[in-house]
Amino acid sequence: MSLDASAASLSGIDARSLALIQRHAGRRQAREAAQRRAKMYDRIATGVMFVLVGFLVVVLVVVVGAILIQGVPQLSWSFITSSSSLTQAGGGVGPQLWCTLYLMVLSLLITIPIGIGAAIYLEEFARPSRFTEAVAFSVEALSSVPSIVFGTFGAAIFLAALGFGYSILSGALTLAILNLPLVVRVGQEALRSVPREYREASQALAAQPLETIRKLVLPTALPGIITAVVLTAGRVIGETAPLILTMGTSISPNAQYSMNPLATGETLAVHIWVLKVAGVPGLRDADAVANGCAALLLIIVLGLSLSATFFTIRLNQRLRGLR
Amino acid sequence: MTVTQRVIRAEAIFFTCAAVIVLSILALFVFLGFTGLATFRYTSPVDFFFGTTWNSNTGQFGLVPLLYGSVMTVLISMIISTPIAIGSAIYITEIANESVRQTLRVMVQMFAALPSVIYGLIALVAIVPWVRETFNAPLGKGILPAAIVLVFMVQPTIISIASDTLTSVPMQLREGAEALGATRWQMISRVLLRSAGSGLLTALILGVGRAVGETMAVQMVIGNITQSVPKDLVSGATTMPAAIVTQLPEASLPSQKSALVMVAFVLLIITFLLIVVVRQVTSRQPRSRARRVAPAAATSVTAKVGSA
Repeated sequence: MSLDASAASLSGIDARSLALIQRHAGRRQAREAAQRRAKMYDRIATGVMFVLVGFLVVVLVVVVGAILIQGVPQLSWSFITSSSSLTQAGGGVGPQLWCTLYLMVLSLLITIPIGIGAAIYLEEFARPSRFTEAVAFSVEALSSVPSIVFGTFGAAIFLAALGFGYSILSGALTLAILNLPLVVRVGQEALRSVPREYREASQALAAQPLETIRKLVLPTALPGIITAVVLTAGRVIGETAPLILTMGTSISPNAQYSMNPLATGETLAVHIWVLKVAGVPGLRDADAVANGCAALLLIIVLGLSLSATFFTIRLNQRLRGLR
Repeated sequence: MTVTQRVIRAEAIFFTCAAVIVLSILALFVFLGFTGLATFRYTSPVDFFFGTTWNSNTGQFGLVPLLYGSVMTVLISMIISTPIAIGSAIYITEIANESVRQTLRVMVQMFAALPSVIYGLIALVAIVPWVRETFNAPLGKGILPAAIVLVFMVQPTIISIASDTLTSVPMQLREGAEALGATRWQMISRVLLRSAGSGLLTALILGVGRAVGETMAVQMVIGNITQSVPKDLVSGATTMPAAIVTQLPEASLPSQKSALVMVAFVLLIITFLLIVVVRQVTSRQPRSRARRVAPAAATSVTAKVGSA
């Protein structure tokens, strides 16, 4: 690009023009170099971000894969239905599975009505006020509180003050408070996604406010509410720390498959921790049972998580299809 | 009953539900506060907050070993996880095409759904033996393996909030940068990250909140030594949540019980302060951005709230 002085004088260009041309050429070169550099940085950055995402994907696949490969061979009908044995290998997790489901139902029965009720109040009744602000802030604050703090709170209030002791009821109540902010948030999202025109149309047809909520808003938002239920169920099943503090870490042999909410309990997740860390004296195949338990837990939790995605998609489809 | 009466009654019921939420957070503070502050009957505040020994046999309950473990695990894990999470969020919102983006969002959701005891189980099998061999540590348990587990556990929290923020940056800013001839990386680094700064900060703060409260996965790999401040990152240590879950079920002395409840109260204060900081950060935002992107709502809520 550059012109040297002899070539310039041959073609009759004076020194001033030459300097100008050279300066332009220099700038152009610098610009092109900068562009090349920018493009190179762009490619490097894209590559780095791809590697970061790829790393996470690989970790997830390896974790899920390892749990399933280790655990699925343990799974069988008898593993799911029989109780663990202290004397011989081949014990199962039947009581723990029952306890997990019982705790889940009990906790959902408390948390879903209150959470959805609060969401209905916030979305359908309340005008913005100091109270709604306080509720919004409480939801935000509660959802950031670590689960162990709820566990300690549950241990102090339900075990000691109310005298429920280590029990499924204490665990269910503790998890109900823990899950309230999640239910309220997802419930609010679901209600908010019902278009305003629906409500106006319903009012125009002379429907009463409660009729509008019951016959129109709630049915339309149903997939969103089911999402709340499914997500909460997943969290109850996966939760461990607060349950160790409120529900205990064992199932008494004469209260297996019991419906008594005041009995101590042990969910699948807690059982894994007990087998791997706390230890069960005399149980010889603890590792195998823990692996099977982990695979079972993972299958349930991921199944719930994926179905929550499904119901969210359904909600959006329903709204878009109707609009 | 007239229609109006019924509406009023229904509103009263729903109002009560909403009030339960406000009451829960108040009850949390009052109850943990009262029970926890009882610890100062046994231990002076100076001994509690600055004591370097937590030993139930000698009745010494100093917070420093617990606090040190919590601060170090959170610090190390956040240093490692910040670039991974922010980079992934940028990849998801700016680089991936629609189908890859959907797949990655489902993946983030799966990450969030994994129970912490599963993380702990994997860490026990994979990370602890690696630490034992690499650092020639007898147990292989300590702050380092705990921090490594946390790196993965905070990913869904940070990624989902960060990608929500990036999605809500106005399209015109991107188009403007591209019209000026910026490459994608120039657009990302000079326009996007700057404009989404406060949202990304929020994501990181909530990631800290997630890490500081994580209990089971950490408890399983940290060794649970509360007696003193660990001498390095690969010998037995503890964190505040791990100490609570390890000791509270077995605590028989009222002094130990109330000291552990006080630790929970300190944790509550810490996470509450984080939320206050988040509110400050988001209220300083110059524009009022679209608060939320509708289709991703459920995903992000799960990941934000996290599971523990």
